[in-house]
Amino acid sequence: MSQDDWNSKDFVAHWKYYLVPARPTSSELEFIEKKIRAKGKNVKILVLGSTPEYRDMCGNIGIPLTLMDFSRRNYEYLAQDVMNIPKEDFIEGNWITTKPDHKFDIILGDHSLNVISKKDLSQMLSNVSNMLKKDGLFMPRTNIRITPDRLNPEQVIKDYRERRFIYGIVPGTMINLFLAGYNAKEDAIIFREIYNMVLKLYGKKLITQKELDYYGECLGWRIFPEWRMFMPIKDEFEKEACKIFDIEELFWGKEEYLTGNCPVYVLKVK
Amino acid sequence: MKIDWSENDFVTHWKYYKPPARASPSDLEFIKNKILEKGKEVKVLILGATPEYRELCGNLDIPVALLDFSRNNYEYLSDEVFNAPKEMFIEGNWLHSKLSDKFDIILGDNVINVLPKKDIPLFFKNVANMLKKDGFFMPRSYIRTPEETNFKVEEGIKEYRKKKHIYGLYTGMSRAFYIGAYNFKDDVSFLKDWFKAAEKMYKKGLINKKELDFFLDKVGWKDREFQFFIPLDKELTGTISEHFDILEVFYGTEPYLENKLPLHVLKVKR
Repeated sequence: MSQDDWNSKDFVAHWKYYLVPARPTSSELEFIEKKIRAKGKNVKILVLGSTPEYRDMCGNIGIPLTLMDFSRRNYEYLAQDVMNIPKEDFIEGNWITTKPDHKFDIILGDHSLNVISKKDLSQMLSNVSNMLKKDGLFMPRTNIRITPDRLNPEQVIKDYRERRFIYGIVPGTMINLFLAGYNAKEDAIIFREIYNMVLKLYGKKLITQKELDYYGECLGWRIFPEWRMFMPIKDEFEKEACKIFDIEELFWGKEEYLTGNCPVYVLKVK
Repeated sequence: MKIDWSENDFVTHWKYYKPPARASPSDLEFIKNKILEKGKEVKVLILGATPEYRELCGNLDIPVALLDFSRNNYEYLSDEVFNAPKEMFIEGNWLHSKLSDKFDIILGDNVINVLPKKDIPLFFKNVANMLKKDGFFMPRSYIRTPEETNFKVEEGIKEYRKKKHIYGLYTGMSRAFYIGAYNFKDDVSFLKDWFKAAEKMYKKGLINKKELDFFLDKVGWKDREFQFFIPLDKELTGTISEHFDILEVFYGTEPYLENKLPLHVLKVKR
């Protein structure tokens, strides 16, 4: 069976339903912006992917940007979400193997380490390290697991009904459902399995038809069954990253809906 | 001429209105606790068809009555409610409708803002008659301060580019137009005037075409005669105090709210 990913036809059209924390939050953007400003007006930035929030941020602070994405279509499609587009240079390429001509002061990646497979992590870190200037910073915002333990999906929904619904369905449930349905053997979230899990919750009348449809149709968990997302254990990821980088800082967004699973790493080549 | 929420098309623009036009998570948390204080048999009335309040009651499994002048708006906004509570819809007018029931809690999001200033005393009087003896009226309202009388839209945009862009266009920039284009003499603003101000900013090169188009196509301000009253903080307190005792004033904790959207907890003066 072929794998679904950002290359799957029309997945990009579902991105509008992926709200925070699938996207960088205000406090994370504020943190990243400070790091950018600290590098001065001539800072050279590379974004791995086409993240609208990073593009809008650079547009508002008047800083040009290079973006590397394997799909020009995704890059162009996501431009719709960018209200203030900066001067952009687009490279169609692969984060694991492409060697850009320039080196960068800051490389941003939003979940870029989560949408590759575990086996490619080491090569991607190595390739990114070669794209950085001497004092450059790699700042991946990355979903991680603190422990291998899985959450109980029924408890996730109970917490949502009692407490977390104030954040809305995506901020209130998504990461916790991923942590409930994580496939340890494959070391990945697989949409088919996550969808089957929420389907069971629906069968038990714990979620509504409308909520099921949002997961299945809007977020695409039914439509893109083979989509996989790698969510490394924090310690294991840091061990791997520290073969090449020093961890200069770890920033945790301040928004209350964040579950402590998505830090922004500030990494510097050793 | 596009007047207000009675125009069928306005409701179709509502999806583009983000907080602070909508209740924030901390506002919802506060309201939730007030509802729970009243016990499981609490009777809640919503003035309008606010999706966030309906979702809140759905998740708490508390039935709700809604009073709105438009069944179309009520039905349209149901699309945004994932977990609808048991609802009783009353088509009526907040100024004159007399309801057969009395309520423990009456919620109203921006209700004071969408009424003409002259109607506020009549509105308060009518709402007071809908409350049980110990009932709470909890309006959430935009307010302004005397210092804002000299506020210029340009300042607001500068602040957005520098700092507030991390909240997104509507959340970060809308108040610049609400206040910058406010008619302080008549104590009212019109959505069409916000759009005229946006056009001016575009001509001055302070906002781009895409941002202008957002205010035109998405939030639908152009040519809209919809009036929006933003009372002075102290004046609102004075008018409220003629009808109600102010038990509490809650300010949502999200930084983008900037203490400019109080949630009053009011009890009828006896």
